[in-house]
Amino acid sequence: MFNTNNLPTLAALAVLALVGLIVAIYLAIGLFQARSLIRREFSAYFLSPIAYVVLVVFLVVTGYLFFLTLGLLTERGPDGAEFPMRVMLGDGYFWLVFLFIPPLLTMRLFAEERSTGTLEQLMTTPLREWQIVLSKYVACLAFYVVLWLPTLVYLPVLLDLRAPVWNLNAFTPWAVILLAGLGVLLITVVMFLLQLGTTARIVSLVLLLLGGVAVGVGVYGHYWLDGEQVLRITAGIDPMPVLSSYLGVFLAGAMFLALGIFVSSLVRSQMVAALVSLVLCLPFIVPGFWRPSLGSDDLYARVLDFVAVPVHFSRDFSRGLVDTRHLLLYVSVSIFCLFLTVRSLESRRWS
Amino acid sequence: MELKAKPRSRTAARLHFAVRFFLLTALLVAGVGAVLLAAQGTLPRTLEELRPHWEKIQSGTAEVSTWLVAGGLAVFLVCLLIEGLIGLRVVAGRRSAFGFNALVQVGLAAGLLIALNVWSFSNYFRFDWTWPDPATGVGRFTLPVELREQLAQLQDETTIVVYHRHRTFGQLTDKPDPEDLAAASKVVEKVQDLVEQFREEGRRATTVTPKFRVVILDVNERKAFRQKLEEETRDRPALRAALDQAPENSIFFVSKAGGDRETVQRLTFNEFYQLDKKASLEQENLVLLNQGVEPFARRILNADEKKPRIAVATIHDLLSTEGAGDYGLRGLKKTLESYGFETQDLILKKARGFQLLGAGAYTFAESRFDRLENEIKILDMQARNLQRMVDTNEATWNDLKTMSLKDLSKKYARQLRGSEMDEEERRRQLRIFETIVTEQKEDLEAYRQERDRRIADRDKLDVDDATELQRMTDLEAKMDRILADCDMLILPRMTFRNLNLLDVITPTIYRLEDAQAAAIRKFLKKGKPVLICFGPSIEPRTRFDPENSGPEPVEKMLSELGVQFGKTVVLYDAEAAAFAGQGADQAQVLGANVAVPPVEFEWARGDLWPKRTEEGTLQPNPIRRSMVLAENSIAKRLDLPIRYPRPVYYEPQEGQKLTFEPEILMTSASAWNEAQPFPTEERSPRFEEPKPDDPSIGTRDEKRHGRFSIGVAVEAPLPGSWFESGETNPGAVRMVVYGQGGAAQNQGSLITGDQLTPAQEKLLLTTCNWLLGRDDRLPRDDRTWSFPRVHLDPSKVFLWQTAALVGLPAVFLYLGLVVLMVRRMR
Repeated sequence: MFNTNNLPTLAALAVLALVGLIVAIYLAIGLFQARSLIRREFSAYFLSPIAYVVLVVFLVVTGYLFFLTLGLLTERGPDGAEFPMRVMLGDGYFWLVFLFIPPLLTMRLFAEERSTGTLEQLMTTPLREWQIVLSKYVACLAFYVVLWLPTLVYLPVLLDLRAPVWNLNAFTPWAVILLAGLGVLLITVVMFLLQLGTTARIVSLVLLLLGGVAVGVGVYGHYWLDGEQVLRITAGIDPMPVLSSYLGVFLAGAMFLALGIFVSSLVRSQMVAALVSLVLCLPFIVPGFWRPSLGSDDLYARVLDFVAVPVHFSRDFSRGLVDTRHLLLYVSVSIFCLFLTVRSLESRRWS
Repeated sequence: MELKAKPRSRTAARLHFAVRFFLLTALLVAGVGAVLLAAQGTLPRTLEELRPHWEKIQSGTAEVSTWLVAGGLAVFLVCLLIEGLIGLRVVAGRRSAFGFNALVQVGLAAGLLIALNVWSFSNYFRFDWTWPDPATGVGRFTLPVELREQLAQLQDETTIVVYHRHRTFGQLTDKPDPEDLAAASKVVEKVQDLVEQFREEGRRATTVTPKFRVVILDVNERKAFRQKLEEETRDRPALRAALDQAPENSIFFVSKAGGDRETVQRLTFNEFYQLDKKASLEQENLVLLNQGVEPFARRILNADEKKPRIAVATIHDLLSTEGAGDYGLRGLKKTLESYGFETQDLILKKARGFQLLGAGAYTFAESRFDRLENEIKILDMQARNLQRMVDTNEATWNDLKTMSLKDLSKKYARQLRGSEMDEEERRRQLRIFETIVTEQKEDLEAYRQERDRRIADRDKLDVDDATELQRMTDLEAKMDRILADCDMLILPRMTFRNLNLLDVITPTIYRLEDAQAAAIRKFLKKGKPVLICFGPSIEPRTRFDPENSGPEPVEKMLSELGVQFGKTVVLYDAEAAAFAGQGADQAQVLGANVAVPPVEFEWARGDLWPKRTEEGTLQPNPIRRSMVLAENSIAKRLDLPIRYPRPVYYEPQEGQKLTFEPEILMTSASAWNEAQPFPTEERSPRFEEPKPDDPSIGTRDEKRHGRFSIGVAVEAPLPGSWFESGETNPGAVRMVVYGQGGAAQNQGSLITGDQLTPAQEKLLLTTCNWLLGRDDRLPRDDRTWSFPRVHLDPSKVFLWQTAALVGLPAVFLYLGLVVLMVRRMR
């Protein structure tokens, strides 16, 4: 995969990663300043009936797909599911239902503020436009994550997980780092729950970062480099496609939500916002159904594949393949839409 | 502070509206025109295609659709220009500075978005996160590193044509069941994945990496299929021929390796993944045998690989690979050539028609040329004789017509035996002679036509090489010369065609000269493999020829290598009834329609005869193992009946240690062996326990009922005594010996006939691949693939499914209702 021909690409990616890191730190500080708005927006979802309707419909659909997947995994015959996540996320019907979820989650974000006249009030807060947009977006994204959390319940079956095996003789430095990281993360959670002062919150954020890094390093060292592990949970089915699938749904969802938030910033009516964002999402879904059944080398089919999110899932993410084209598409469209949203809010100042 | 735009005049606003209205209308008109052009099939896609439209507009002969597009675009551009000017004016204003700034930013961001994605479209990585395959050490969607390195060395472009006929496992089974269909669909998916990996390699192409162009031809795509087929095969007749011949889903590799000559190699989907139906049924899953990426890669890496050349040595050109019907090996040739082998006939006897005159060594062309020459000579001679007779009879007829009765009586006095010719007799003779002359002339014409046909056949033969060979008189040298280019030799001998009718070709006819055996020995001494298919060497007592009853030189040579032929023929219980005439119909009495059981590739330990001490401790025979895998793919025995075989045994040479079991196949247990199997008035063949004083008791040829080994495959060490000082002994030679060389078609033949059955093809190809050292082409079972399964009892499955489908949504519905009630309460 890596050879001298890829060097320019690698260099470009490294530069992008560095720039991205600097921007991420800047944005994180901005978000920290707007934490009240995030909290307000996030909790608003749980007070709205539409969010529960979305949750229930989403879980019925994923539950039905899990029903089918389990049927294939326990089949007695020549049928089955080589990649269980493919049955769940590679199915066209899933994406037809999914198409409605981001618009429903984003339609109210700015359109409601506009229609009720609270947008002017929001704009007078000591927050800049990008902080407002990003706060609403993060809250929306967090709810989207919450939407997916119940599906983790399916994992023991989708991965054919076996009972955990403890081996207390397998403590290594990597295991200690992992445990320390987990401990720090636990402390961070407690500090967040206690609702301490600003300094304590900053400390807890730093601890969160350190704990996350320690856990990451510890997991890699203990589970990839060490011969034996303290806690071993074996899976009968390759877990990596599950990981890549969740990465994919997170990023694809982020893209659709960004599209929705942009549309919401343009109109007053929530219904119009939902419909327009649904239409804007269509180009990313429809090519998944409307393309030649077999791949070919011509540009036309490749471009269709490039934008078709269902194809990305049926061919790549759900089978453990992570393609940088898809990642870049999702991230770039998300950033572009958020940028447009910020400009859309700013335009109120000069239009 | 919000900036306000300067209010515009009413006229300016109306003008601006008009410009925008025309802009939109012009766009709509151009769109309608484009649709009309597309419907006519004249929508230009390139600048070249635009030219004729432009010329028509200039000459004023353009159609309405062209005018709509041209006019619409012209108005659109003018309006756009005006709109741009208006925009510039607005931008130039101080109040629009923020807006313009934002617009530029949005434009730049959009440009960046597009540029970034266009760049990523062709510059990307695909990370394979799947668990590494234990065999390759890389993920399931990654080509092995060594293979990628090898591919990087390739310079030539390879076109990979994936041909979907939607028939994958149709070769060995004609009634696909759920396992076949599921396997077919999964293998198609696997092939597509692999093709995609190669396609990705191709897209990464630079000047040093190979280029792969992938074309998918799917017969289900009907119209597109025909169009693509025409495009791809227009200048590639070899590919077209290969596609036409492909009986099942296949992948073709087309390249111009090493020059302009285009090579086409075929790989069936089965060679990539093979169904193990037996294991599938046992495990209630789909079990496929993964043959690895190697068969696929080999076709690309070895595009210019020389085709193995196989010599087929028969005693008559009617028995050769050009010979049709029961006797010929046309089916063998067809199979070998369609799977990438070349064949070369070697005729071992000089023939005059069906009469064999003595030993020889001819290529097919040479033998046929020789035979045709003789036939032409005979036809010439017969025609000359007939012409003479016609001339004589015509002269007599003329006499009868022209001479007086008196002169006739005088001239033909001897024929008239003293009587006088009268008018009535003359008329009668005239009628007779007219008939005779007419018939003889017709016969003469038929002879001439036959002769012309023979001459035409002779002229078609490529005899340049044959003429050179004809000058060689040393039999051994000549045979050696013909075999020099060959990588393998097949020596078939069909001896029994129909035992009931005593339709046998006796060993006397097959017997080779010592010089010919010496040439075969020389071939073996080079380490080149041989496939022997010798039927039973038994003659009816009535035809016994004591002069030719000694050991046949090739059989003698094979015995030096350890191959021992039984002196009996194996008959089946089913045949005993036919011999006894108990059959229901005449055909069965005559030996046809007797369904003999197919041969077996799996047998119980202890079934071998004679017993071998190391049985069960050796590796399984590679050909046998491959055939067992083929049987497993259909979960039943291969339909391969072999009639009138002779037992074949292998006795290791002194000091030789066997590495694998020599036996490939055995007859069923319902068989017995006969030393004199020919039915007579006194006795019809049937199994009888041997008498206590039977001399065969205790020998290999002891009369018994049970299984008989009728095929062995060995790596036989070449005896040191075969080599003179200075000659190099290659060590061992691969050899396969079957105890049958053919039988009447559809009656259990091993290799003869116009068309081989799938089972015959499988055995032949497996045998040839193994003999030629292409072990990697034999099916393997060390890597299996099956669907992952979760083992839960039905009650747990029900609980999981109910919890997922109803439980989780119900929990959140409950929560939602509670929240709603709480809010209402407030």
